[in-house]
Parts: sequence; C-alpha cells; structure tokens
Amino acid sequence: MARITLSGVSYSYGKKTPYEIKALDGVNIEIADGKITGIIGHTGSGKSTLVGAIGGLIEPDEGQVLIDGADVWKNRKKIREHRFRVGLVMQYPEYQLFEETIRRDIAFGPRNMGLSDEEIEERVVEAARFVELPEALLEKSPFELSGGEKRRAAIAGVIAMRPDVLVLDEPAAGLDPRGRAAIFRNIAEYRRATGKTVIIVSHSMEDVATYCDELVVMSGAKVIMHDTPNKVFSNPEFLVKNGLDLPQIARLNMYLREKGIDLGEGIYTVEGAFNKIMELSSKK
Amino acid sequence: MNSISLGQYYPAESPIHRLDVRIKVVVAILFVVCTFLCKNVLSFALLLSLALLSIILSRLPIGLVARGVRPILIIIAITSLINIFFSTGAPENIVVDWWIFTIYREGIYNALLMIVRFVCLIVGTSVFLTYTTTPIELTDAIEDLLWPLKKLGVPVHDFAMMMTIALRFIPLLVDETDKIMTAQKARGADFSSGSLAQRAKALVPVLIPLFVSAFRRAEELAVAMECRCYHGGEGRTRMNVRHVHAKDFVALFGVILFGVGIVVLNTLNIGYSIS
Repeated sequence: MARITLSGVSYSYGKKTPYEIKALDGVNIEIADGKITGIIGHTGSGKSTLVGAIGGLIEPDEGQVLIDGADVWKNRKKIREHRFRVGLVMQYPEYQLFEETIRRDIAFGPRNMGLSDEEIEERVVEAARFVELPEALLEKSPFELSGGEKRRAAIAGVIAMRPDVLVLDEPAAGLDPRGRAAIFRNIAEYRRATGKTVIIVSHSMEDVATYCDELVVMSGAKVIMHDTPNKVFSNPEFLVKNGLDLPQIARLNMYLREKGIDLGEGIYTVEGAFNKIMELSSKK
Repeated sequence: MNSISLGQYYPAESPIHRLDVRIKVVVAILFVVCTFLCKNVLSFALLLSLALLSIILSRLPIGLVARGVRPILIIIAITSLINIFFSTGAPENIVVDWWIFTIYREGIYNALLMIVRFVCLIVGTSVFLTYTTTPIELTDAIEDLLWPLKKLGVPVHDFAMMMTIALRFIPLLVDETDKIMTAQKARGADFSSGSLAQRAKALVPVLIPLFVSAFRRAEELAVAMECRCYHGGEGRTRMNVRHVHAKDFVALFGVILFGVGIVVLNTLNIGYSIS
C-alpha cells in the first residue's frame, strides 16, 4: 500500500516569462489509502498539475511529494520507480498508443520495468480483463479500434504496471454515456478487486458523486475542500461560488425541498434518490 | 520543452507594439538600410541613438534586447579580429608592429564601428519585428506588402496562409510532444539516459503518436476550412482590416528623416570614417 502526502507543494508554468501562471499554490493534502478520491474543480484550477505532481511527472518548485513518508524527488535517479508505483493515465490517453498491436502497447510499461516475458504476458491479460477488452482485440492495431476501445487499451497500459496508486485524469472525457459508465464501472471493479488507491480527476459531478469515497475540491491553484462527497455536496453555495456545479440529483433534492418534499441530507446519486423516493412513497 | 518559444513576442503596451505591422516591416527594412549607410563616427552615433530611442519607445526590458545579441557574439568577435588585423592605414597610425602582425589605428576604429553596426542591426530588427510583432501578424503584413507579386500570378495569399498555419501549428505540436513524452514517461520511458542509439530508440513511442496526431489535426483543419467554404484568396476579405494611421506615417517619416540625417552626416568630413 502507499500513502501519498503533499506538503506545501507549489508549481508554476512558464517560469520567468511574461506568461507565468501559478498552477499549484502551497497544496497540502493526504490521499486516503485504499479509497477512490475524486479531484474536482473548474478548468484551470490546477487539477491536472496536481495529479502530475502526485505521479512524479512534475517536480514541484516548492514543497514535497511524499510516498510512505519518503520524498519522491530526493533521489532523482529513482523517480522512475515512483512512476511505476503511481500509475498516471493522462487526459485522452488513446493518443499515446504507438505499438503495432494493442498487446505490445499494453506491454510497454511492464517491459520498461524489466519484467520477464511470462510475467508481462500475465499482466497484459489481467489488465485487459480489468478494462473489459476482449482478447481478440489484443492482436489488432490501435488504428482498428473505436475511440472507447482505444481509451480502455491505454488505461490497461497503466494498470499492467500494477501500480499501488492508479491516477486517472478525466478518464471518461469525450466518451458517450455508455462509454463513461463502462469506464467508471471498470475502475470501481478494479479498486474492489485489488483494494488499491485510486485518484480520479473529473469535471462530472455525477460521476464523482457516484464513485468516489472522498473529494478534493480545487480552485485557483489551491485545495479549498477535502471531505466526503456527502459533506462537499451539502454545501451548494460554496461549490457554486467556486465555479462548480452540483450533481443533478443534489439540485433535484434542493428543488423538492423547496416544494415541501424532504428527501433528507446526503442524497446525490440516482440510486440514493430512487431508494429514498420509493421509501417515502410507500409510507403514504 | 516550455523554453521553446516561437519568435520572442514580448507582450507590452507601447507605441511600437501599436504600430501598423506593414509599416513596422518597412521601418525595419529602412533601419537595416540605415545601418549600412553609416560611414563616419557622427552617423554611427546617430544610428546608435535611433536604436536606443526605439528600445525606449518599445518599453522592452533592456536585458531582453541585450540577450538577442548573444547568438551573434561569435560573428561579431570574428569580424572584429579580421578588421583589427587586416585593415591597413596610414603608416603614421601604426599602433602595434610585431612579428607578422601590424595593427593600425584604422583597424581598431573599423572594428568598433562594425560592432556598433551589428548590434544596431539586431536591435533594430528585433525591436521592430520579433519582440513587438506576433508571427501571425507578420505573415499577414507580408501578404499585404507582397501584393505586386499577385499581379504576376504568384499565389501570395496561399503562401501566407500556409505560413500562418505552419506557425500556428508549431506551439500546438510542441505542446503535443510535451504531453506524449509525459504520458510515456508515466509508463517508464526514459529519454535522458543510455547510449545515443538507445535514446533515439526511446523517441519512437513519442514520434509515432506525434505524426499520427499531426496528420489528424491537418485533416480536421482542412475539413473545418472547407466547411466554412474556404477557397483561397480570390475575393476574400479580412476580419481585421488594418488602417494606416497618422502615427504610422510619423514613424515612417521619422525613420526616413534619420536616414537622410545619416546621409548628410556622412558627407561631413568630421571624425573617422570607414573606408
């Protein structure tokens, strides 16, 4: 298992140019071990930079990124080991596929780890199963796959490294509703089966409300809230002020309350609302 | 990767930033002509003051302008040495006469004036063009200035459009390269160690997706342009029609005046003059 802690992490893009932008400003967080943590925030709030820092791909200007209490940048030569432990799936990962076959592309990470052929093969098959990629597709070229299949193949490429922490930046961006649901279902299943820590960056309040155990809310390069979805969504004014939406169900809940039907606190998923409404209607 | 900036446009509010780009191109060309017109110490002094004046007017940090000279320092050094050692002058002006080297006072003067000329050349072009004009504005201006070639059947608009698109794509591709490299690094790709052959091989996972994405973007752009009925330059109007204002004429005449001043000063027989 792995405990990820960020202490006082700051990072700027375009340093010493007129275009300098501060993307992280003194971020302190501890990611819950073995849980799914969602990172939300409006565009440009620093979400992607934050996961880049967690994944050891962005070296903070100030502060430290710690894994199990050890500074990951202390020994720069060992940064690759950190990258294998924290698997980062970037936005639109399908654009990074390059091998002749999907099988070889998924094997790229494990091969860089210097594993044996048998071990690699085992991991490729396992990773493909997690993302529900049929074995027949493994022999195909990335160009023959649909967008959703490519996305899943790219995610499998990171899962195959068996990272202690899986980080996904907007894993469902640009997919249709069925594709979104499939990706999130795969991620939830992956966490359930392996018990490993998962971090998801998302724009969609519905998705994080449904799948995450904890939420990190970012605004203006800072973490402004870090709590359970229940607590986060119980404060709608705060979210709206920081440019975020409420999940549709939370909005419905507020609307119903105004109309005199109180579903109670902590209702922000379709499932939760459905059960509650059925319960209320059966009482009548 | 972020250090690669195309051109070195420096955003600021200054009279030079606001000049009409076509006028700026003409002014820059005239400035270059001026640097080559200079012959004697007086005209070089005038040139230097024109360069300083333009830096002040452009509100660029002086350090930035000075950095622009750095790439040609070697050229400056070599020409200075050649001037010092190979210029000949009057026998009474010998400064050093040792072994096969004979240095005349004229040689030192020539070298100094050459340095001024080179520095002014860089300062003039960078202040009027690279630092204060975006590359896209520049291609637009060049298209306008090359209108006489259109009459000869040269597809000026098409060339300008290609140049604009190419310029527009460079930052995009740099960005894309950066993203792909990061993505492959996340999977343990190593670009910074190993032999040359290993490093070249490590670039394959970057180059293939980069090419794929470049072709995809090109195709998307072509389709998007056709959807908006793009058909080349014939009868095409501009969204931002540029007008030449009084201040642009002031700048133009200012530089011409400086040029005339330089020519006049050249005729005065005061101080040292380059042969």
